[in-house]
Amino acid sequence: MSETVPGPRGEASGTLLGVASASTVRFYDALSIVFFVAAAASLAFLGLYLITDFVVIALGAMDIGTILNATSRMIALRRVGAEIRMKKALSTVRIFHLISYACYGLAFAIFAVAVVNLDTDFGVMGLELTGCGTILMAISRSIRLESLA
Amino acid sequence: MELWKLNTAFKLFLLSISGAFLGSALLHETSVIHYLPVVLAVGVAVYTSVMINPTLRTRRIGIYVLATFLISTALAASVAAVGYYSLSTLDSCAPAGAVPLDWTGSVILDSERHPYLDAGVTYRFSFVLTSGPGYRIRVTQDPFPTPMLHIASLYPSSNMDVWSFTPSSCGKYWVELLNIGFGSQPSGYHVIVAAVTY
Repeated sequence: MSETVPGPRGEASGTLLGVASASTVRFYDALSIVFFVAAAASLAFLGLYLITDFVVIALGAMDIGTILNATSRMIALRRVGAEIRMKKALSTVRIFHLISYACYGLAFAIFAVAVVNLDTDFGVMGLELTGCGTILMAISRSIRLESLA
Repeated sequence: MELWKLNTAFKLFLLSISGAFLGSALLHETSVIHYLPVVLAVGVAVYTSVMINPTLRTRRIGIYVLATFLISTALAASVAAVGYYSLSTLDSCAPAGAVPLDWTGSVILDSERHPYLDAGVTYRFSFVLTSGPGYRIRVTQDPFPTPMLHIASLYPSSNMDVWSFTPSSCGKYWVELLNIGFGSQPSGYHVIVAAVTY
């Protein structure tokens, strides 16, 4: 179900915007938890059956969870006052960059395995990790720019 | 701890589990893989506890204590169950059947089976192409394509491949079939793995 958020036109619409963004943050947080738990479940199956396809599924679920988590953080930061937002945005960007570099590092190693063994499963894993790192980088940039505005 | 930070930490944890699995499988350290479900269960237990804790603290002290006790007991039991299941099979070597794999079907892209084979027993692998453009065969000891135990291709002109193998260690082996034709041209197969000296 989609929700239309009206533009800032006075106090009433500002309150409405606050309520809508708060509920969006709550929904995205809950959804990201669901996807992270799904990723953990997939890794549990991996431990039982030792089939690398479960890593692909887990990375996919982790990607969705990461995007939802980052987006909810971005929306939540918009509701914070300008002075605090600057400080919070800096620490958020730092953590998001850490995750991005972790994703890129793992993706590099996995791409190397994919090329050496000509294994397409590893190519998919590498692309998923690169996508996760890139999206986080983009969201970090957006948060940084919004904090400067 | 804020929820987004907790989620981020959990994401890093899951990434490290995936990395540890891939790394240990790549180095053929399969014993490490048996411990990963235990570490994963502990991580999920901590994540769940940290997430639920702030909600519980808003309740009455009696409910808080009871819920904390129930949750920690359930989590400890789940970690113990995962640990028992995962580690009890670490050194076991259950006897395989006389025909560990009798597999018929048609492969569109790729398909795999994991027959359990005993150490010291000689097995006869028989691959037959029953229809379609053909398929490639790949037999490995673990999920990774190296070391390759057997590789072959079947075409309509040469539609059978027989290979004998005596495993040096017991466990699951990977038999993978990759279709040579496009998705619209599936290849029919019949694969039998049978013990010769049983």
